[in-house]
Order: sequence, then C-alpha cells, then structure tokens
Amino acid sequence: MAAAELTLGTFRDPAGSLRIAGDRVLREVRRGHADAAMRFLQSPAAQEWVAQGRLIPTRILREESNTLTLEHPRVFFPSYPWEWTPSAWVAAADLTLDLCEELLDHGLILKDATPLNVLFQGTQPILVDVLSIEERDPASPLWLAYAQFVRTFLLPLAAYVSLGWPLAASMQNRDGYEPADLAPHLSRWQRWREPFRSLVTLPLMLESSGSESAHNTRVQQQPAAAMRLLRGNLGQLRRHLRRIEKRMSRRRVASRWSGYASNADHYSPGDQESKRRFVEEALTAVAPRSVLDLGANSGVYSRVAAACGATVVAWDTDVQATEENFRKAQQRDLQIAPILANPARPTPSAGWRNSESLSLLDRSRGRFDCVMMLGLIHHLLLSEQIPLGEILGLLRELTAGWAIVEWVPASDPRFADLLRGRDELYRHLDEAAFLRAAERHFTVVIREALPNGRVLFALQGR
Amino acid sequence: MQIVRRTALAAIASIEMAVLLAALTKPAYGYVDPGSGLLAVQVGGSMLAGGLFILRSKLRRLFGLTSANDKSEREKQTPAESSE
Repeated sequence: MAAAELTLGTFRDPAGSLRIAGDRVLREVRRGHADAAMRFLQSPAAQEWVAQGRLIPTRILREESNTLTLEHPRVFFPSYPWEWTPSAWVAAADLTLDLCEELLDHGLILKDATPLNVLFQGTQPILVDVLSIEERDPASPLWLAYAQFVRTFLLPLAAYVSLGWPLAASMQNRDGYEPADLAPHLSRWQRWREPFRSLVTLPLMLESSGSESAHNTRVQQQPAAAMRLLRGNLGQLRRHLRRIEKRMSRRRVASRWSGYASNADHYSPGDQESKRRFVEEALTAVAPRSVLDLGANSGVYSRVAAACGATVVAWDTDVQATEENFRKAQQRDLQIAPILANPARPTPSAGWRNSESLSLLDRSRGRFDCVMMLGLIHHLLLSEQIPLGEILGLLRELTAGWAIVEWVPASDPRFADLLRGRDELYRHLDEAAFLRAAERHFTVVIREALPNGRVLFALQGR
Repeated sequence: MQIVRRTALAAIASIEMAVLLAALTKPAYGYVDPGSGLLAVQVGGSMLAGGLFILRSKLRRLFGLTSANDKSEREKQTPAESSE
C-alpha cells in the first residue's frame, strides 16, 4: 500500500512557512528574514550539529526576488510533544538549551523555544525549525524566549512530576502553562521550593506588583556583561531542568504495565524463547527497513526488531513502560522511537483548523514495511470492543507489506481476565474467525502454535 | 592625586549604576510572548547581576586589582599596539 500523500502547512512565523508535500519538506522564507539563520547553517559548527543528527539538514532549492525556498529531508516518523515520554521531553529541552548556548558564540540566539520545534529520530531529538535562529543584540542580557521555554518545557515537566498532570495535556496548550495556571494547585511548601519558587511564585509576585520590569524588554548593558548574564540565565534554566529530572527519577513508580514482561506468568520461559525466536526469524526473512510495534510495552520486541536492522516506532499507552523503552533505547543507542499512542484511540490532528499537526494515522498509513501486533489483539477485541475485521483492516492500512501477529485464544488466562462474564458475546472468536478476517487482507506465510495455546503468524499483505 | 582618582572612579561607578538601573534605551522586538512575571524575573536578575558586575570591576580598578581576563585582554592588545 503506497504511503499517503500528506500536506501540512505552518504559518505562525511571519518570517516564512513550511509545507510538507509527500516526502518533500519545503520552507519558504521571506527575503531578509533568514540571513542570520543561513549564515549559521553554512558554518562548520552547524555542519557538525547536522552530522550529529541534532539539526535538520537544509539546502537552498530556489532563490527568487522576494522569497528563498529551502528543502529539508523528511524525518521518518514525526511525533508531537503530547506523545512523548518524560525523558523525551528532557532530551528536547536539553537540545534547545545546547543550541541556544552554541548560537551565542556566533552572535546569534533562538527567537523561540518550544518542544514543537523538535522532532525525534529514534531517541535523538533534532531541531527542525531553522528559522528560530536570529541575530542577537550584543547589549541585551535577555533571552526573549526564556518565558516560552519555561511555559512550554519546564512548567509542563514540573507539573507532571509534582502534580501528576499528564504531559499529553500539551495538545490543549500550544504555548504551555502560565505560572498562574499552576499556582492554585501548589501547596505552601511547594510554592517556596525550587523550581516553583523561581518559575511560579516570584514571577506571579512581580506580575501582581505591577513592576515596570514585567513589561521591559529593553535592558541594555556592556556586551561582555550582557553575554555573561545571558549565559547565567541559560545556566539557571538548565539547573531547573536537572532538578526536575532528578525528582522524576525518584518518583518513577511501577505502573499497571511496566512490569508486564518480567511478570508474564502466562508465558513459560520456553514459550517466551519460542516467541522471541519466531519474531527474530520472521523479521530476518522479511528484512524490513521500518517496523511499527503496536502495544510495545517496555520494548522487548522493539529491541529484537532494532537488532535486525530496522528503524522502529513503538506505540503503547502506558507512560512508565514506554519511558522504560525510551531509556533503554537511549542507553543502547538503538533506532527505536517509543511514543505514547493508542491504535484504538489514535492521536487526532490538532491546532488551527485541525491542520497544524497530523493525526497519528495520517503519519502512519503505509509507512512501515512490517507491523507487529504481539499480545495486543485480545485487548482491542475485548477492552476496546473493536471487531476482528476492523483490526485486520487497520493493520493492512498501516503496513506496506508485512505483519507479525500473535493470536490469543479464548482459553488463554489473559483473554478470560478481559472477558469478565461476556462469554456469550465473544464465543465466536477463535483462530478460524481470525484467519477468515486476516485472509481478506493478508496471506498467511508462517504459522507457529506455542505450547501455551497462543499462535504466531507472519502475514503478507495482498 | 590618588584620592582624586579614586573619588572620580567611585563617582563614575555610581553614575553607571544609575544608568544601568534605568536601562531604557533600545527596544527589542520579540517573536514570542516574552511573558510578564517571568520577564520581570529575568530583567530584575540581569539588572542586579549587571550592577554587581560593574561594581566589582570598578572596585577592582579602585584597589588596583585586575582579573585574569583583563590581563589577557591587555596581553592581546600589546603586539597590535607595538606593530603600529
């Protein structure tokens, strides 16, 4: 199935706009608005950033009297902050501060600082909005995007860690949280403790005192002093980020699914090994360049696919399990991009006219050489109440060729757990029903029944 | 003579501090909302730190102390000056 033709436009930055058409990413820039950015992009420092995969490559496609057209390669699978794990947020925040610090050495600065300027390749964040780079006023010690960095990175992270507010809520808040959004929810102790003291309490006090500084973007100082102070301000933001990250690791608790792989008592070690071997052999035979792992949990099979040489995108709904998948891939430098995504309730398109960000399925249709659905089908059938034909239909839409699926029979203890007295309703669900639904879209190429009753299939799209 | 020099330096430092705290010259036009309370924290912190920075360098000059940076700046200038 061919990849869907996508078009997406961005328009908020008066300096230019971005258009994704199919596999081409074109950026139109108004003359005179990208001089600073272009100067940096052609410098050896920027080339090093590009080589490290931290800055999107850019080439000039056309130069006309009023516009400059730039072309970027398309990032394989764009994800949005509302789908990221907490560690991905931290990595994107670090990248933003790193680039801002680097730019200061070149007389430049970032004019905005939001997670929306960052995409991921595996677990490596990459800054894609090159128009964020602008000339710096050497006499100003201020970073005008300081508040945006706090609103869109630090406050959502701090609210997640200290108040349990989900990072997924960022879909509803394009420009993050204001200090006033958090203040009523903080205890007295939290209000005077960092990072909230500097990020919420003091700003609110200064705001309500009507301080002249609250509207003053015109501070001018000696260039050496201004640079030192600016670096100090960036250092302060970095320290807040480290403080939040430290608290995040302390509060990492076991969730419903994070211990699933190690506590899978319905799987004997022999069955587990057989399943792993089947997946490994099927992937070796298919040799996919890209794999989508649906219901990836903490990423056991995502890592099998990555070891087979595939670029992997892993979806799961559990924050802690996906976070574990992200951290393992990060530590081992694997090409796995774990995101929080649910095939039964896929992320919708968002923003102005629902066209600023693409829906999960619009980003995914036909993008993967192979889609894996292991230990998930009974959840979709019983918990989400999706009919078999629909599940196989979606699977066919997502894959460009192959699918590896684990069929969970009604006799399986996990199937029975989810059935909860609805036996009559789902009595018809057996392997034969699965095969009837599968054969409308796929040909069964390999079948292997495990001793625990589960059946593994390698399916090729018709 | 030394007392006059020191008094003059102290006076200059005070004037510079006053100018710094007023600090209203060139407007900076931002692309994003710079915030209000969060901007005030940044502006206040920068003014305070900037004031201390200038005061410290004045005090160093007053007491005849120079920082490593000042020394290296002077060393950098010396060959250029000698070539002129």
